[in-house]
Amino acid sequence: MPHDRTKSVIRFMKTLAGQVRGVDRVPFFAIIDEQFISRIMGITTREILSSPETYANCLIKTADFIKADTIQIPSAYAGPAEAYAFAEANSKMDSIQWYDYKPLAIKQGEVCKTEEDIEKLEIPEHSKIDLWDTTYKTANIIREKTKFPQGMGLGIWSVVQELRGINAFKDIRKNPDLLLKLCEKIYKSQLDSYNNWIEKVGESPIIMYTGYAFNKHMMSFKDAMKYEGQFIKRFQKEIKSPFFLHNCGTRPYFREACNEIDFIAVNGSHPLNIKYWIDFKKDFPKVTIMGANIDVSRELFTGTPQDVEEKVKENIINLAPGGRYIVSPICCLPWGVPIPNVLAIPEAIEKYGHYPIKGA
Amino acid sequence: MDYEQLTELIVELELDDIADAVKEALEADGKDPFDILSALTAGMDEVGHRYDEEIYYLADLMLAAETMKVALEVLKPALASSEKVKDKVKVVIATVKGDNHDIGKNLLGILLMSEGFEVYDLGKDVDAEKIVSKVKETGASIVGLSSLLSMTVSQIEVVHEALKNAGLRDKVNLIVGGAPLNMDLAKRFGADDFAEDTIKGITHIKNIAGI
Repeated sequence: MPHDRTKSVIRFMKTLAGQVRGVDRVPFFAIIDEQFISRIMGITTREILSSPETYANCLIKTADFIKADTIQIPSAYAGPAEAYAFAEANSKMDSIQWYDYKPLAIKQGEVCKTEEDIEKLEIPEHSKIDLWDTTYKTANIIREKTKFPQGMGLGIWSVVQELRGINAFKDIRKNPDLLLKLCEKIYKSQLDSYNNWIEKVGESPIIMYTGYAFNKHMMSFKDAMKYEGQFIKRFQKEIKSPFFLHNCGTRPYFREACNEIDFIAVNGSHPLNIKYWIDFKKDFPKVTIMGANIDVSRELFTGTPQDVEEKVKENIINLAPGGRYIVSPICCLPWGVPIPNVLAIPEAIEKYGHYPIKGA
Repeated sequence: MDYEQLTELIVELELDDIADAVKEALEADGKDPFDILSALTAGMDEVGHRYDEEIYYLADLMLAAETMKVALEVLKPALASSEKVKDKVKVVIATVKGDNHDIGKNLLGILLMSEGFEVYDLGKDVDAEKIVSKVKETGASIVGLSSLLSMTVSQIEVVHEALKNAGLRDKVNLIVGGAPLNMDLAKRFGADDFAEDTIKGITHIKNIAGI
């Protein structure tokens, strides 16, 4: 049966917004990057990105293959693609590494090795960056072909780590003003990427905010607010679209972040204890949970389709009643994940995820 | 400069003062370099404890490691010429092929050195052959691998197989760490052990080495 994308858009957007009426079942959101796309399509990363048409085609086919309710463009999210823009704008493309079957990567810390590098760091103009040009065009093709609205991503600390590497953590204690200067430049760069998105693609119905600072392994919550949170608040004054917080770390500050910042949803897999998520739903009734404890490194990687089904069922039964729950394995689907395990997700949603939820 | 003060300098992350303090303890006070090392290591243990208790975070660990590194640079010649010099446990560490993330691995390296291990840090994006060759060359008994990306975790198995093919697998303990990993996955790829963060990694490696 062909994918009914109109239904997908409705169930995803309505669930995010907390609406229950008109939602037939729990939506499926998967973060798909080049490693999984290249596996499904049988072509290399460079081939995937060789033209907006090819890129869009690969993304649509891969999302359809796993019956995901959304199609996201991996290069539209903060991280390697934004680091790529900085590398190009600062003539440091030798810090970029291409791989055949996975996303491009930057040698962490190469672009902003010294204080002078930060002082002189040029803010990229995204309209002049080839990868971003391809991304904008790809978004338009996907939107035209599928009627899927296309959203983009932001994130300060994820880019700080790419540009400054290990020194960023030393800067937190030894050179906070310099670090804030770098954050400020990344903030300006991302506003540029957003403004280009508005101009070339249109409104982003939602912003995926990759908030890697919001992790207890990384820094105190106070520092997370200083180097990430305050910038989200500033973004939210400029951008009217709702934000969801993605954090694939193992000790995220989801509760603390949602107390301070307005997020429509949280997207993560930890803590793994389902009780945390049940309590989260009670305490944050207006925040949609995308994920909960479906971790790609566990059942999906080492288990069987039956294990995956049980995990999805556990999440649906506990979190979907009343709406505001989206099944989402975290994080990117890995290269080596057994395909039957991935396909077990939409099958489990079909079995247990229709409203009203049975067995809850 | 007494031992408690040296410990305190590490705990309080006094990067700018540590070199002079170690020099003073060695030269002016004539303290035994191994006793100084013990005092510094006690400081690192407290830093690890504070990290576990969420009093300290990664930034503090980095700074503590940096402080320890400076202290070790001053201390190293005295340790090497000491009559008490003993064989150190050798550890080869690397970030696996295809992965350029090295924050955790670098931190592990410094902390291992501060604990008295002889560390061979091969860097990031390292292929299995290079790891095997370093194990052969040094006779290391522990290999620590880091993989932060889900797409590179399977490289652990490549290293495991390469060590096996070289006849070295039963001579080394393979311990791994990184965000996408857990004990099940680590074992599936042939590793002996998994540590969920750097501080736990140190504890596991010390256990393996019988320290």
